Amino acid sequence: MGTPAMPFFGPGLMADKRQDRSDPRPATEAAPSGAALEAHMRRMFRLIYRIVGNVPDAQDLTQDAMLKALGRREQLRDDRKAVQWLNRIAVNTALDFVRRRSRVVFEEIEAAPPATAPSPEQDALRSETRMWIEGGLKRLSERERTALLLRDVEQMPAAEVAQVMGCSTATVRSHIANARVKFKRYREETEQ
Amino acid sequence: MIGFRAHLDERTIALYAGGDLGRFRRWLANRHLSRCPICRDAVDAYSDVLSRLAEAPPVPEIDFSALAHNVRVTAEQSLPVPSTEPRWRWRAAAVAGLATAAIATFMLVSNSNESKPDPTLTATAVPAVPEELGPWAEADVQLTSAGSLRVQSFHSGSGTLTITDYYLP
Repeated sequence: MGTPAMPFFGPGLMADKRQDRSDPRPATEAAPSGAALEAHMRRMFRLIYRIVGNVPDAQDLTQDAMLKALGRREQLRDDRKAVQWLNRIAVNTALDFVRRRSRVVFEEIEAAPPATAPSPEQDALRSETRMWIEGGLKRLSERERTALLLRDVEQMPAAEVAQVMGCSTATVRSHIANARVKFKRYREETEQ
Repeated sequence: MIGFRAHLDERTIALYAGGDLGRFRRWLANRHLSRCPICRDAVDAYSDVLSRLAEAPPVPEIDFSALAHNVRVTAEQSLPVPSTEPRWRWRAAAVAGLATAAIATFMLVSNSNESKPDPTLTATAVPAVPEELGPWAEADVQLTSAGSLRVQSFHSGSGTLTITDYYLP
């Protein structure tokens, strides 16, 4: 009856308990290094952060989304689609959160732990760009904002955005077109 | 409609600038842009917007190993391990009871047919509800005598017994 552990979770992550009861080793011993899990969480965090706009919430939501995925992992029929499936859970978790809060809080630049220490000039530029993007995003609908962030900020192909958002590529293109038109108007207004 | 307009429409330009037009529409747009400086300027304006969006501050680096560790610990503590032995005992009892009920039903059917000799009934449960079966396993109960019944499944919620086929000689 030993169903093989699902590769996308990495071999042994709780599968030893739930699926292979013949394995006498304790869970902690059979558990993997967690490198696969970490890689998936890194990617999910990235998407969630773009949508919610601040580190503490993105961190909590990444954890929630991964726990959700672990709890529902029998829904994943094809391991090759694990990345898309996880991305979709991540985006939906973030969107649910944003809907609940009905607003996005962008943290101050100082509050975010930086990847590398930027110079004061870089800091100022990033802060300015962040505020500019934040202002434009406020003009978009939730779907337009998500499509734009995934396509134009995260540089995800439109087809992949469609899979993550659970809609057709044509719908995503429509959201992207609307969002870019609104952003261009916003730019014209702010730079006058 | 791109080719017949005086200018490309705004949404088409927005998609063109980001490389999101299909092959044919892109070809039409290219043909128009080759002779329309106004639309070329509009494309440039959109390209500028897209460049600014691409310059969004990088995603902050956090301690992903700690985050993954938290998830592993929480998941291992909170997700139930399906070694629910009492449930299996209950299921085994239910299947045994069903086998008995099926035998009784079969005896009634057999006795009502007077032309048939009294059948000698034996019942076997196949498989005999082994514990290693998952919770989704179906019980397969066969009654062998002068005739046979095949019980395919039992729905624990409604108590419904599904008999897929029977044979009476």
